Amino acid sequence: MYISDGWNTVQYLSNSNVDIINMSWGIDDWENPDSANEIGVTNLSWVISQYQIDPTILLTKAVSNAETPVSWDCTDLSSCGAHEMAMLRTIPDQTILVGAINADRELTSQKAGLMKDHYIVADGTGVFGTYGTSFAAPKVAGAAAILMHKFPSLQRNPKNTKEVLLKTADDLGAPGVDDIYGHGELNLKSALSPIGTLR
Amino acid sequence: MKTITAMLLYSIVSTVSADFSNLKVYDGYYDSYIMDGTVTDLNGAIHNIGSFYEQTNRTWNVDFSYDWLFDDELFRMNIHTTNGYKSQKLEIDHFVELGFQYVLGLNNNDALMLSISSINIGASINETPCYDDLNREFSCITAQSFAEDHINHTLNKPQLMINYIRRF
Repeated sequence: MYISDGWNTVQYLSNSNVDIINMSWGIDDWENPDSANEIGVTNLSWVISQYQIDPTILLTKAVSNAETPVSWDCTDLSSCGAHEMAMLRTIPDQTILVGAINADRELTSQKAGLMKDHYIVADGTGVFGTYGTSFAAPKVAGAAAILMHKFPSLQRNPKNTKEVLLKTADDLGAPGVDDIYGHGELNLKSALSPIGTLR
Repeated sequence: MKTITAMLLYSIVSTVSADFSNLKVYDGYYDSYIMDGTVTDLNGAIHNIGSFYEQTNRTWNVDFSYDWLFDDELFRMNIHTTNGYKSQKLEIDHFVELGFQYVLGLNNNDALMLSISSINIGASINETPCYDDLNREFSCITAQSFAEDHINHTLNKPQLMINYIRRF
């Protein structure tokens, strides 16, 4: 299977009038930056544009389960290559990047780093003892689906849906949005509650 | 119901005793009718919603009852009408409520009073959503999704009551 098969599938789904697409997939060849770029890890905007993905669809994207040579998690300019810096700045509004935590709320995936403004974590527990961001990302997608069902104004509005999920996440680690957990842990109960004052 | 209607029609065209004195017109405000205070959302946050339900209209009511005897049995027809209730987030449309009462004497000291009433015109209730900072629609009353949980129906539940009356 090629990376392009994955994106062709995403494109097919995009043309099938879906509201949310979860992408719990990645590449093994982290040593090859070009390969990483092709999958859209470092350049989601470019790939989304190339495959003409509908901008009104919410994309939940699992980050890697391990540290990678691609400097997603570089936290300062000196440790980030210019390429990664440029690409990380262009994560599209329709995309939520999802890391994983364990039962002790410890991060078990790539940390937020420069992705922090788009990054949320969720429980990475899967089935049959499996574990990782591949199981955390669909939980965020499922939460988004519930939100869209309960609040029709969020349908076809990935930017606002993402904002609700990020703003209502439980803060973990350093106060506020941080380089480890980003916005924090998914909290559906908070996401279903009003943000701010009812008017 | 057909029987009662038939009785009523008969009584109108017959020479029965009738009492038209029970006409009452009054106005005023609903007394703290709906929620005044706060609502707690799923997350435990408290929202002040009292001002949303302060009545913005003045209510008037008309009550009218008509009594008649038929075959020595006492019948009463009640009509209640009001112009309803208006507030920022909730409205109850004007309505007319019609009811009938019949007192069935069992003996000199005991009787059964049968009452039936229903709202026949109006009485639709409409809730207006509250919005949060991201313009999501919530029911102000429950602080939950407005799409799934809001009041939008008509008050029209017929009520039947049977009262036992005993004179001591």
